[in-house]
Amino acid sequence: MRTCTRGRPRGRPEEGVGRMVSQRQLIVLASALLAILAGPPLTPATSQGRPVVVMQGVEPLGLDASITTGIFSLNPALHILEPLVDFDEKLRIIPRLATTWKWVNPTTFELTLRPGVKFHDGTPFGAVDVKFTFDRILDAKNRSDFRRYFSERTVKEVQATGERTVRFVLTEPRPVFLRTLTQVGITPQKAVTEMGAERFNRAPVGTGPYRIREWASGVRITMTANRDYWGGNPRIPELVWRWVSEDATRVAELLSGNADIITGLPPDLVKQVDENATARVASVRSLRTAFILINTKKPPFNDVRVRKALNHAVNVQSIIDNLMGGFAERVPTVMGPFVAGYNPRLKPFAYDPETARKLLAEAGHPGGFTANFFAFRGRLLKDRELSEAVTAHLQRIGINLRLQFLDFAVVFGMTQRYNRDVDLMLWSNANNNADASYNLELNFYSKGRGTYWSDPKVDELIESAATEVDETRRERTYQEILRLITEVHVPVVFLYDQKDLYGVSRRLEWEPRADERINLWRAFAR
Amino acid sequence: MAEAALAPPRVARVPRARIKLDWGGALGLVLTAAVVLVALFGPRLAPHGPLEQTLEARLRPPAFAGGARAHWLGTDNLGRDILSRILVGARPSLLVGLSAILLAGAFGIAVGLVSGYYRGTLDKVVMRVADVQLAFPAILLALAILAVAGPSNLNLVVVLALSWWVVFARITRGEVLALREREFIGAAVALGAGDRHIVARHVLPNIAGTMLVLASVSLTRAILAEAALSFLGMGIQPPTPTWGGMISDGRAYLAVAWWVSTMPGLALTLGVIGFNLLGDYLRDRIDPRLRS
Amino acid sequence: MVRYLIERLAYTVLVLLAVSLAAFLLAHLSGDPALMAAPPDATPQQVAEVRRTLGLDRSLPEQYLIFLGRIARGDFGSSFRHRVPTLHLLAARIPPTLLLALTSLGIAVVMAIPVGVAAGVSRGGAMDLVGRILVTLGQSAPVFWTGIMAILLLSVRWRVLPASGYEGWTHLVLPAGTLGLYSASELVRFVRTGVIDVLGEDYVRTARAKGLPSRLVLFRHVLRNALIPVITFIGLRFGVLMGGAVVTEAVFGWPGVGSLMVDAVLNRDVPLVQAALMATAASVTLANLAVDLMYGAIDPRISHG
Repeated sequence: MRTCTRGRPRGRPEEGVGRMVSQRQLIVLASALLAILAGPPLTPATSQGRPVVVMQGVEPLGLDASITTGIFSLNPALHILEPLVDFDEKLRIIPRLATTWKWVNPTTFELTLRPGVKFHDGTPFGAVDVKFTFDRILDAKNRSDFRRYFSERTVKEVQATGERTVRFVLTEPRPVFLRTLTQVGITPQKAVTEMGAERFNRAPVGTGPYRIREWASGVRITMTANRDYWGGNPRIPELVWRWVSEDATRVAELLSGNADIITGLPPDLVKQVDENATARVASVRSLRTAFILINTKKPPFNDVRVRKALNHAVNVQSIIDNLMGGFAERVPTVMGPFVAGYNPRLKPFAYDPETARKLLAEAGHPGGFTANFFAFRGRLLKDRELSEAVTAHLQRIGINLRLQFLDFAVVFGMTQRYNRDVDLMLWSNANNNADASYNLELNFYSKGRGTYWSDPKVDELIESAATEVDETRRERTYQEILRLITEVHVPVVFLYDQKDLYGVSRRLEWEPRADERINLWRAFAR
Repeated sequence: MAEAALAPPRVARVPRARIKLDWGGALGLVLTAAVVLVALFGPRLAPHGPLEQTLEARLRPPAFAGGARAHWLGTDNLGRDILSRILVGARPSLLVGLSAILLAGAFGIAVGLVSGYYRGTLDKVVMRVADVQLAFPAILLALAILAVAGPSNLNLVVVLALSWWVVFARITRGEVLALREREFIGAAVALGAGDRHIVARHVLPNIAGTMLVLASVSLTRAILAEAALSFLGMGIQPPTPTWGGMISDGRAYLAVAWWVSTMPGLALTLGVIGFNLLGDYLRDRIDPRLRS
Repeated sequence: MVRYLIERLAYTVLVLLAVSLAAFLLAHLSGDPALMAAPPDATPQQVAEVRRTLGLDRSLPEQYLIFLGRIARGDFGSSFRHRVPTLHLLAARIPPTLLLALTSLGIAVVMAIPVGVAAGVSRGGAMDLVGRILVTLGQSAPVFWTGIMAILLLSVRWRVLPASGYEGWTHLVLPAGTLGLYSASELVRFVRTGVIDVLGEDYVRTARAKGLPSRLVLFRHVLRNALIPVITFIGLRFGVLMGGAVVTEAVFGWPGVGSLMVDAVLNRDVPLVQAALMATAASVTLANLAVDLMYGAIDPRISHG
């Protein structure tokens, strides 16, 4: 029997280990590890004055603007690469790398390119680069996001018909074609071939007003002014793009002077920014329209009266005034007035719970019913609160919604493949190209993603409008489509256009745009 | 000599009667009881419906900070009464937390006991399984499972238990390993005592102290894990209020409406103070090494 | 020692294989990776193309085997969405993650040990109660709450520290401090308990009886023994932190592994999920090894005399 005084029993937690490693060795090892692995963080080298810092919510996925879409990638990318044509802040088409254009025949589009433009590596810009860029998109192996517009189904061939002329031969007439050119950045054949797609995606060479300095993965993207830019030397010498997902932190960075532009300013924090001396609020009506998809293939939603009832029951104006703080605009349909093809004669559904109840009763559901409502969080401004508010409004007329917030991946999947469980689903549309075709062909067309509603007559009209070269007739067709959707079929609950909110430092002269683009090469910071 | 070795080590330490009433313990009991009562009767005590939205009265301050008298603790981002939501939200928060740590504790302690006591291959295998699981960041595992299976309450409990059982197991194991080297265990074995007897009379009481501390820590962690999952969108789903979820949802408004996040936070803090103090008090009473 | 290490390394490889399988399943289990790799306005034909190009139209077992084969050659694939090698993305995130983990743990230890020892020694007394209440406050506040409050106070109101980013040493203070505070709160209670337990041990009384000065007794015997559960806890915590402190990273815009992984999982970015999880698994297993080594170094019943 051992006693207490004479050493301890020889058992050990881990056999054989303790004897072999002394304490001192361990400390030395640990310190060495620490020293090696935890090097000092990178510090940005600021050259001339303070750079302008743009802080968005997520990191760009890539800077090759012929491959990656998504506004948070295109915004930095389109400072380095340039499209053939662009939108101005009033959403009118203006020349960029192309100076003139015309339809040679209904299926052939020709552009003349700007002379004297050079890429950042000195190579001259010409038609071969345009052909190269679009050929890459047309090659499915490159998995370009732009294949929605440019694939074998729409574009037969791209021809460099001269040093500075390019022709697109289409499979059928497509009047919206010009507008689809506004986001594709033109890439240099030489640099892409030499660097390879991967490296180019992280450090592109373009013709744009800024050159890439560095993309520190996960941390920041730095770009410096291109003094040889054909459009004149940008007034801001250096741009830094950063990203922070937490709204409150982005606002804090704006207020403490570390950021000059922040995106996604929550409406409830507008007051905080307004009261601050160094920052201001900038808001602009967005092209993005929110609505709630209805599964019209399933009772009771196959009855248009029920769908109209839903529209009468949601007090959209109250949501706009109270929840969104006024930062949204009511739209009677699925797109707003800046979108070509909009029908100004449409009226929004009046908030009228009485009529809603009556319609429900007429349709055979006087006591209401239960339904699933799928929504997501963090994609739309205040999407969570919006979903909860809509649920409460519909409750008042007896419709009990089982609100479920799902992973966006799952919700997105539901737009691609019909899912029987869906009764209502929150959705929105960016109305790219400021043209009605985008939204309609995507969400209300049986060959697009019309998984929960489509109509053969509307299909026909959409197809005819897509190839209609006469501007007036095209516009009228879209207006008719919208009238059918809004007044006759009512396949969705119509909500509103978002108002994008930005926080801007007072030293920066810059205004936001409806298409969510952030262009800084004409901006100025004191 | 033999008797002395058999008895659990005696400690003549700080006289327990130094403080007549253990203030910590009393406070702990009161706070914990309050939380339990609110969890049981919250919905009946709530002055407003927790789901009643008044969009025109969003983000109103608490009554004591200049707001309307109807809302003692103010309203949230949809105009719902915060006090009512706190009262109603106690139950789901606690239920999920308690279920998770009971599940995790039962499994984890059992595994840790067996592993630490018997050693050998069993121990090695168990620890490697634990390693594999620990190799997955808990929050990611939780997120992934919830993304697949859906964020229901049951799934949430399972996911939380899944991430915490290893802590119970490892700490139990560590304690048991240290304990089994002690003489009284060796003596008991030499005297022919069965394993079950040794575990029940000598091991369990000696680890009870650490286990109680771990339990009270875990309860807090479970409630806060639910808050973190809410932060990522995978906690208990709205509109059901939970303390963690309310703290998370209100964080965007901290600069302009601090009460939305901080009021439920205070409720949580008071609850945690209660659990911790009570846990420490019970631990002090139960631990045989401190019995005189 | 060598045999032991080889044994542990062999286990690590097994662990990594298990993790790779689990990661593969995780990434494929719900939602369609092809869908998430395509842009949000993709037509069904576009999605089908993407599926073909990324090899997602093959059967799951086939995909897994191809994946294993590539890993054997050191190719961890390219992220579907970022279109760069996953290792490139990870390599950029590991130093900040490590830095945050180590610094916050260091802060936690530095804060927790004195407070825990004082509380344990004064057990039942004023210092104990005060310490425990402070601890509770630190423990019950979620990291995002403390973080945003700290930002509002220190970045916005007083402008002494930056709110986010990975730009310099000052940017480390808020995230590491917030995280460290949180870890410290939990740790204090374990230190306290450990100290109390050890103070009751025979050999401590013996040392005192021998006439050794109190402080020496405390440091040499009490501290080391009280550290056993603490080391376990730190080891576990480090493992957790190497998985990325997701909430801290989100609040402070800290470019760690956690936010990369959450993003990858939510977007079903299969190669990135797999590579990130395996990297994390490797570091966690190494951390466990370190902890077990430390057990040996710390426990006085192991050292001689």
